[in-house]
Parts: sequence; structure tokens; C-alpha cells
Amino acid sequence: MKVLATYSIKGGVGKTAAATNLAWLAARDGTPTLIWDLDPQGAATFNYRIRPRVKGVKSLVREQRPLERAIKGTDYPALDLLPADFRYRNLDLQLDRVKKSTQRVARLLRQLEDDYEWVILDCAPGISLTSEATLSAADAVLVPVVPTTLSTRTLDQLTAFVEDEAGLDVEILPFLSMVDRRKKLHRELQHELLEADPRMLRTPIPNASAVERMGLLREPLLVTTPRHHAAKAYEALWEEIRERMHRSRR
Amino acid sequence: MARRMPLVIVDVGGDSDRVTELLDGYDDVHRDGPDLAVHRVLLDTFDWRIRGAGGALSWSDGTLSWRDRATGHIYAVPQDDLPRWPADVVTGAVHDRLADACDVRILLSRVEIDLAVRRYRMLDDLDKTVAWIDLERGSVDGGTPVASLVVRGVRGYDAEHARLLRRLTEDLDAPMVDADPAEILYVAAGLEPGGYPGDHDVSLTPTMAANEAVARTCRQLLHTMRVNEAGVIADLDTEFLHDFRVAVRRTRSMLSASKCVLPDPVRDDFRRRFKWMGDITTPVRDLDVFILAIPDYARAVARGNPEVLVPLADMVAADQQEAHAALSEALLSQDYADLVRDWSEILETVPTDAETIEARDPLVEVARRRIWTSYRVVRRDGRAIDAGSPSEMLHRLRKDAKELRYLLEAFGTLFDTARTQMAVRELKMLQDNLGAFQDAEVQSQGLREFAIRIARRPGGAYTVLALRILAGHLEQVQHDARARFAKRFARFDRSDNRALYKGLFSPQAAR
Repeated sequence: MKVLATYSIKGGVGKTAAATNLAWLAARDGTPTLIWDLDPQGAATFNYRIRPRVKGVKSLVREQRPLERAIKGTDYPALDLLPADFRYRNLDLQLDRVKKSTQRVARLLRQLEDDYEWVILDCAPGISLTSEATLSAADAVLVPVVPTTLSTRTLDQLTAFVEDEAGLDVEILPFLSMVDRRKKLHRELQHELLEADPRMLRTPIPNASAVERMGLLREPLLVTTPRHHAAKAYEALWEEIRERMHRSRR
Repeated sequence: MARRMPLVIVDVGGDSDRVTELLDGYDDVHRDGPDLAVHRVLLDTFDWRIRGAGGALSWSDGTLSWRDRATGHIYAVPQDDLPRWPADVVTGAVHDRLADACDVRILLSRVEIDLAVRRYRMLDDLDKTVAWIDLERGSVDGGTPVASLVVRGVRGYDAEHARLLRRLTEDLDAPMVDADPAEILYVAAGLEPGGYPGDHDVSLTPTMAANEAVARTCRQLLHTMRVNEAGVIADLDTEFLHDFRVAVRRTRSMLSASKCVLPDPVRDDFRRRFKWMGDITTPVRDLDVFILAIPDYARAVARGNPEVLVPLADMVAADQQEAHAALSEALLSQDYADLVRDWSEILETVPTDAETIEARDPLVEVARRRIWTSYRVVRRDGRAIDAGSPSEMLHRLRKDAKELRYLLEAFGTLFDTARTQMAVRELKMLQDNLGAFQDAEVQSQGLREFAIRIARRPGGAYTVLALRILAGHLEQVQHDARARFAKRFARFDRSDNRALYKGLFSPQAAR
């Protein structure tokens, strides 16, 4: 089982859009895949038309109730989803009450080790105990980076948090998100970021209204408009991620 | 393990119009696109390895799907043509499962079905799919009509699925079964999925007359030969011939052990004719072994340049084709047809006609005597081997051990099963050693012969070098096996194993 987390300190950067589409791509050939929506806003849950409600969040965290009881099948055969719940906003408090809280998400996922080949954790933005617990469960963190002047600084902060403060040995895979090719600044920064950071995945995800419409249609972009250039970009990005994960496995 | 998705099948018989009318009338059930014409092919190996591995493999309209029968999970991959081998399928979940399940066996189309599929979804108030309903109408292999409603649940929506089933049960008044769709189609096609094709239980009882037991066992072996014939002639995969040869060899073991059970002239005649079967199949099997070993050779010597073994692969393939043509000719010959006919007749009449000394003795006594004799032969021939003995003596012992092994396996159930299994385990260790010795010798000699032939052709210098290195490596393997023989045989011949045989099979044990 390989665990990927989509994470950003900042919200509104295309994190959930990436999680929604990448999870669908992972499951496309029948590979058992789970997307766990840990963001209390529940956008990934909404995109898959599932009710954002989890029975007994507390007892799940305390392992008194098996995680698999909360899982829902999506409309796509190999893809399941662990829904968001508004009570996840208090997850920090609940984690704080259990032993080895930062390893709790990893421990919970071990229950599902034989069930899934890919798990995608859609994390809430910000820096918290929940993010630390989530990132420590991941083999790699996918970080959407919008090409703005502050983006390098945000990425540095995130790296410092993951590597120095949390002390996690997790691969950070940033990718360019919401890139507007019409903006000169975006074009320049895209080039600079790709040059400067060898971790950066090569495929940029364009800023497209089709991606925003996903919230209206409530289906992955790859399903509604598979030929759209943004859908193609997610496909290429997924291939890159698989390749990186394969390489790191070796 | 992933939780099993509820899947229920309703046999709707000829009443599919009423079903569509009913489903179209449900508010929360919606058609999912237009009707689809689907040509579906169910695939498995000759000996149902995919089913044995817990899967069901189907191909339709450019997609190959592996369904896990325990969980209902489906792995799918684009596939333009019907695959014959796992290697025909792109790397991924389906390929890996196929490679594990099939090993060297070819995939065969077991059932073909033309279906009209009408798909419905049951939606909840968020327009989320909470159950899938497929109405499948068609005919199996162009004949038997089938019409079924396949109702598939979605994980986490069990209540909705149960509600739908209750409604369908009431409205349709048709039986619903929690069944496997592939099994239903296999049965509709008149197939019996699972197990070895045509295998039936050869139950032996201690008091059964020996001639009857021999006849029953040999009938099953003859049946195994017959079901594999077509695959051998068509050269579909190497296992048809392998299994055919095993049945021939076991028949020969049975004939050897049937002294005083079958009349001597009959026994001698069939021993000669089955030896012919063994002889004519050996060249193809030896070459098949080379074909199967070439990927290992390539890994061993040609990691940097896999092309170096291409001349060997070509030569082996050409030789195999030639040997196979001769084998096919033999299997299509009058001699073979006569053998099958005569042997079948003998096996039908043996129980009543045989008037030999042991024919009517209880099976357990005859089996005990035969196993004891066979064991003593292995012990005598093994003890005669010392460090200076020629290879032929080890080959002879390998054959003796094979015969003993078959007798233990064929008649083991008549004795203390646990102790007989212990005897088999001990014997197997000795056989592994003898097998490693013989295989390495056959292969190293074969490779040296191929090297001589390739050397006569232009441009084969690197191949010849690689083959000599390989042959040298195999000779070392043979040498190592030879060095381990004394220890292995001493283990087989140690006092507690001797006591085990004595306790089970000696004349004293009979009293």
C-alpha cells in the first residue's frame, strides 16, 4: 500500500481538485484505491456525491470502531472514499487525547493494508497536530504550488515544518497548480520554480474553469471532460507520480 | 481482506420485458446510457487455474477484467485482442494476477456469450449511485439462452441494496441467488468448472479386489491421456504433454506393479506399447524443458545482451517443431488408436476375466506387497552406489524412486495416511536430489550439443561462448548434487525410515 497526501499550508490552491482526479486515475485500471477526505470542508466528499458524515469519529480515532465501517464506495468500481465530517475540525483535540498521536493516522491505515494499493489523504490546509499525524502516515506529500512571488517561501515553510519540526522522512513532491499561461508572471515563475527545485514534478496543472465546474458536476474532470487539457495534465502528473514512487521504491 | 460486495443474480427466464417495465417504473432507478451489445469471452486455463486462484477472467470489447470471486473486486485493463499468455497483458494488477495463476499455461476461451446489456443505477437523494443493476440477455456459445438481472451493491450502502432486493423479490416473484456470474455461464455452457478436466474420484478401499483397483486407476489415467491429446497435438502449451506423460508413466508403473494381477501376456504387451508412448514423447518434452529454461539462461549469462541466446532459442524451437510433428503423427496413427481401444477394452473386462494368482486378493495386501518390493529395490540400488559409481546407476535409482512414489501416492489412502505421508516426504527429498542431478546432466549435455551445431554456423561465437559457460555452470550443479547424494541417501536409509516402511508395508506388518 502506498500512501500519498495532498497538502498545502494555504487553502484554495487546487489541492482537493488534484486529490479527486488523482484518486480516480489511480483506480482507473481497477487498482484498489482509497481517498480519505480529512478536510472538514469535505470538498472531495462533495465531488464524489457522498454525504459528509462519519459515524463515531471519536471511536474511530480510538480504534474502538474499525475504519472500514466508515468507508463508502464511489460511483467508480475500484475507488472508495472515507468521507469528511465537520467534526474533523476537532480532530486535533481528539488526537491530543491518544498516545503517540502523531502516528495515529498511520496506525489506523494499517487496518486497511491488505485492501488498497493506493491511499490518497486529502489534508486540511494549515499546520496542526492533524497535519503532522497525516503527513507521518504518507510515503509522499503532493504539494500544489501556485506560481506567485510568495510560493517559494510557502514551500520552504512547508519543507521546514515537515523535515525539521515534525522530523518526518517523507518525500515532498511539489507540483505547479492553477497555472495561467496568459500571465507573464506565471510563465516566468513556472520556469524558475522548475529550474530551482529538483523535487518539482514537471507537469503543471492549468488554471481552468473546467476544474472549477467539477464542484457543480460533482464528478472528476477525467469523467466529465476527459479530453480537456487540464484532464490530460492530471493524467501526465499521475504518470509522473507513479514513476517517482516506483523509483523511490527501488 | 476487502469486504465482499453483495451481488445477487435473478434468473428472469423469458420474462425480461416485464423486468424492464418494472425497473423503468421505479423512481430511484435510472437507465445508465443506451443498451450495449456485448460479446463476452470467459477465459481460463485448461485446468482452471484462474478459478483455482480465486479469480474469474473475462474479455469484452477491448477490456480484460479479473474479478476477485471472494470480494467481487474487479481489476480491468485495456486489451485489444484476446490474450493467450500473461505476457500479452500490459504490466499491472491484471497481469500480475494472471502471471501468478497461469504460470506456463495458455489461456483458453472457455465460454463465449453475446449479450444485450441494459444498465441501471439506483440513486440516493444526492444522485449518488447506491446499487448497480444489469439486465443481461443473450445466448451462451450461440445456443442456450440466458437472461439474468445482476444486482450489485456499493460499499457502505448495504441498507439501500437490501431495500432494492426486497422490492425486486416482491415485484418479480423470482428466485434470487448470491452466485458467481461466471459459474452461471459455465453451467449454461455445460462445463464443470474447477478441478482437473474429467477427473473423478478413484476411491479405493482395502477390501476391493486388486484387479478392480488397477482397472479403476488405469481408466482414470487413460482418461487423463485422452483429455490432453488435443492440446498435445495442437501444441498449445507444454503442460498438455507434461500431464499426458505423467499419465503414461503412471500407467507403466501400474503395469509393473500388476504382476500376478493382470495375465502375463497382457501385461507384457501393454508394457511394450506404453513404453513406446513414453519414448515418442520424450524428445518433445526434453526440448520443452529447454524452451522453458531459456529465460533463466538469459538471466544467468546474458544480462547485458539478451540477444546472445536468440540462435539457441531459434534452434530449440525448430527442433521442437520437428519432434512435435513426429509426435503428432504417432498420436494420430492407427497404432495409437489401437492401443487406446485395446487398453480400454482390457480395463473394462479385467475385473471379471482375470484369473491370475493375485487378481482377487484384497487390494490392501497386493498394494502392501508391491510397495514393499518397490521400496526394497530403491534401497538395494541406492546402497550399491558409491563415490565412483557411474551416472547411469543414479538414473536407474531415480526411476525406481519415481515408481515407489507413485505407488505410495496411489495406494497411500489404504494405510495409515499420516505415516504414509511421512514416507512420501522422505522419499521426495531423495527424489529432489536425483532430479537435480539428472536435469543438470541432460541440460548441460544438450547445451554442449547445441553449441557444437551453432559453432558450425557463421556469427555464433558469442552464443557458443555463452552456452559453454552455461554448460559449465550446470555441470557444477550436477557435481554438487552428486556430492550431496551420499548424505541424502543415508538419510533415506536411516533406521527410523526403515522402521517406518517395515511397520507399514513389510510382510510382518501384514500379519
